[in-house]
Amino acid sequence: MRGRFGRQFVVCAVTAGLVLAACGGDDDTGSGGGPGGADAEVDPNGTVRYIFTVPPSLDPALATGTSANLVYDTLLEAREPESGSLLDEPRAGLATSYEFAPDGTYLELQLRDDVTFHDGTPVDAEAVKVNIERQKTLPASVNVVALSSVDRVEVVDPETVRLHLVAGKGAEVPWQLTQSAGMVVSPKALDAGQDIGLDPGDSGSGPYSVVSFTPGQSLVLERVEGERWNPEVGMAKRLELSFVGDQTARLNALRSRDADVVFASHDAYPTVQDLVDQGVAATEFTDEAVGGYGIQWHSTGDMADPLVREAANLAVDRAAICETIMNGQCYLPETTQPLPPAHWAYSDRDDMAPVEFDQDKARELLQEAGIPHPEITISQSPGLVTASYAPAVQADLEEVGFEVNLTSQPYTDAGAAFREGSLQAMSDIPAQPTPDPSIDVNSIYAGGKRLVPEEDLPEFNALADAALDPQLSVSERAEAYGELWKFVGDRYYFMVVAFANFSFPHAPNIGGVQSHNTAAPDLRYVYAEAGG
Amino acid sequence: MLKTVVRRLLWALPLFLLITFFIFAMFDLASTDPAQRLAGETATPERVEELRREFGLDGSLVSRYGTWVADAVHGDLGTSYVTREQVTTLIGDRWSITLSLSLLALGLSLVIAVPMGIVAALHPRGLSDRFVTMMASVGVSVPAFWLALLLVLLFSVKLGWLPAIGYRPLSAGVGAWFEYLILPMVALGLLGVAAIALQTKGSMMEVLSSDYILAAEAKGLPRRKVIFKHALKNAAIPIVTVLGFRVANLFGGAVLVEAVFAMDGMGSLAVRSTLNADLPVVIGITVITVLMVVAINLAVDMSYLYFDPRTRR
Repeated sequence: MRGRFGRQFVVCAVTAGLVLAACGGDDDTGSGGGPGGADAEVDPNGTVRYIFTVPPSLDPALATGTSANLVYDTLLEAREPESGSLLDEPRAGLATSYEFAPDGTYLELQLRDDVTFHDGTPVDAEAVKVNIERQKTLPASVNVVALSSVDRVEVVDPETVRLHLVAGKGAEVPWQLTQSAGMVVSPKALDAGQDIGLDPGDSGSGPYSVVSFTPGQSLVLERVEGERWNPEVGMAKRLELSFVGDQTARLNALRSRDADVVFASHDAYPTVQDLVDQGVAATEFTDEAVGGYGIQWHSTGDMADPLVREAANLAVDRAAICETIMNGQCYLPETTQPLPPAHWAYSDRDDMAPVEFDQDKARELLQEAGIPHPEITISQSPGLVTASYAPAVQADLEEVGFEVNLTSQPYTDAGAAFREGSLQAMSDIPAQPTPDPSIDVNSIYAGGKRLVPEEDLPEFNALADAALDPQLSVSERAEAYGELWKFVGDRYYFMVVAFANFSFPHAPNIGGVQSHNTAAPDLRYVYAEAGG
Repeated sequence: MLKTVVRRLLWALPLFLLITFFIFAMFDLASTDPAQRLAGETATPERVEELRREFGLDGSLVSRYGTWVADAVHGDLGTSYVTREQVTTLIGDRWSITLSLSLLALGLSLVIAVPMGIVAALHPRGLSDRFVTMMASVGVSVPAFWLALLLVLLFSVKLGWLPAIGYRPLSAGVGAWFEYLILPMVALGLLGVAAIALQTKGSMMEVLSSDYILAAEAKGLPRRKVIFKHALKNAAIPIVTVLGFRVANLFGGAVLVEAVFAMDGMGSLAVRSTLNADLPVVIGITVITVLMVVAINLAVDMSYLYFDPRTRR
């Protein structure tokens, strides 16, 4: 009797489950258009489900990246709202304007006078001072280097704050204030010792508050109702961010409408194009690709010889990698600088042409160097786009005589090994499309220890410091960085393979998606269309 | 019985120590520095050293392992290097996902495989037998992730019946919970069908040719009673043994299936933590998995006492 009931129960449960599942429809979620001029009507109660990276912490001092700007406003902003294109200079955020002292000794920020944190505390100069000092001094802060040009913070009046700068430095500070270093948390929450990394509560002034947060995995937010100082953001009532590592799963989720926006790397381009052609998704592809992909060479072992590094640059068929591995969604660099031409810091100088693919010449150089079979270890990091072309680089190098050991290790470990010199090459992005080159030059290559050998460090650091002079204009800074990239490029310390596109395919009824031109889209602008 | 249980548990202790020490040693041999990873690219050497002290990474392998064991005995499995959350909390939040998936998959395997095996055993070399053998071959050959992707393409993308990714907890309602588990359950469960069906078939065929079964049929007992009461119970021991192995395999399969369906279960956590060199989480998951396997083996052993009275002596 018991056995028969058991069998019947299982059959009923499975059947009931199948019926329930078959009856369950899609969630009605948002659609798209644009506050910035699109004709679609925004659904004020819409939900957008976004598959992207989720930060390990929401505390701006503990995690880089800009997703926390859903909760915490930044003092300044780096990108155009609609396209996500990088601006030539930061625009207003919590600060309405900024100005360097004529002698470059300080940066003065004028703050809005109409913003309060959701806990009622005003966003004023004192709050900014507390936050910048915290970012500079918290032992675990990820922004210590980012704010290293700030010597001290002075409150001039409630709406004016002055950042006193280290002599001759600080040009990058406005750009740093567009990132997590410029996010402002309620001092009341900080005083109370609230763990804002896991539960920000009312400590932000941004458009959203956190409903639930699983670090690195999911983040659910709901719009904070009421008037906002920035009416362009917070269009969707609810945002559900989740991280899905597998690209096929992400695209399947978009196809089945289990997600509204997903991240796709260049290797998914044919699939994304199919989805667009079928009307399942919308996205924009552009020639203004910003992701610079490359290989860094460490000048140790056989790679200490510049001829060997030059041979390595000559040996790699970048056009083939771009055409096949990156599905043609890329272009080859015209200079050795790791910046896309659309970047404000891109230098126009014409003496930085990269070497052309020439494996015969590469072999000759290796012979000339007396090292016909240099031994190198290249690292690729699983899960990163950069891992996709590392085997192709390995094959090209072996073609001309290199003996290549390709290893796989997490990015941070690879970075540490690279710095120590146990890796001679790292499949990496020499400069991500960050708003200011200093964010990479001063952070990733801090002190030049990862990019250049000891003997070249003083000159490299001098060039890096020169570009931080707050008295330089935008074009002068671009030229200063041009000098630095020329210095590095002439010594073959890295090679930009190609600039490739990211895409953020989304359901056709979702708007405000910064689909291109940025690897870090601003999620505050997404919304669902009414009736979508 | 109690003696058996105690003996089994005592045997599990050295197993625990061996496996956990092995993982400690493996992480130690890898060129991974958790403190450097935690501190990030821009950290000063002082900051890295400070983190090393904070997480007790500055001691020798043996002393770190000793500290971990002492804490684990008190239920403290440590803190994640990456998220700074308690490992017990991290695992607790995800355990129900993997358990739901594994149990449903196991249930599905049983519901399909046992009847298949019995039917095949009752008609050896018949059509049903050939069908079972063929299906078993297919089942053994098909990788879980591939089946999972096909299921998603058909039922989520093409037909739009079932969700392609995600998970809903039971608190969201039994319907929602089950809806999100159907495809992962099928992808994972069908893999076990082959082994269980073939084992059932073989075991049943052997039992059905026994003298006592012939005697029971000669006495005129109904066929159904002979099969389900007398034959199946005696054929169950090898089936239960295979089931024990299957449960351990299910956890392995769950890693891939959870990835395809973007379920944030123990499998996903294990993969992510390993890639992040998050030793406390990896070792916490190992402990729980070893516990599960030990418990299952114990349950299998105990089931022998029920199925075979001779083992009670």
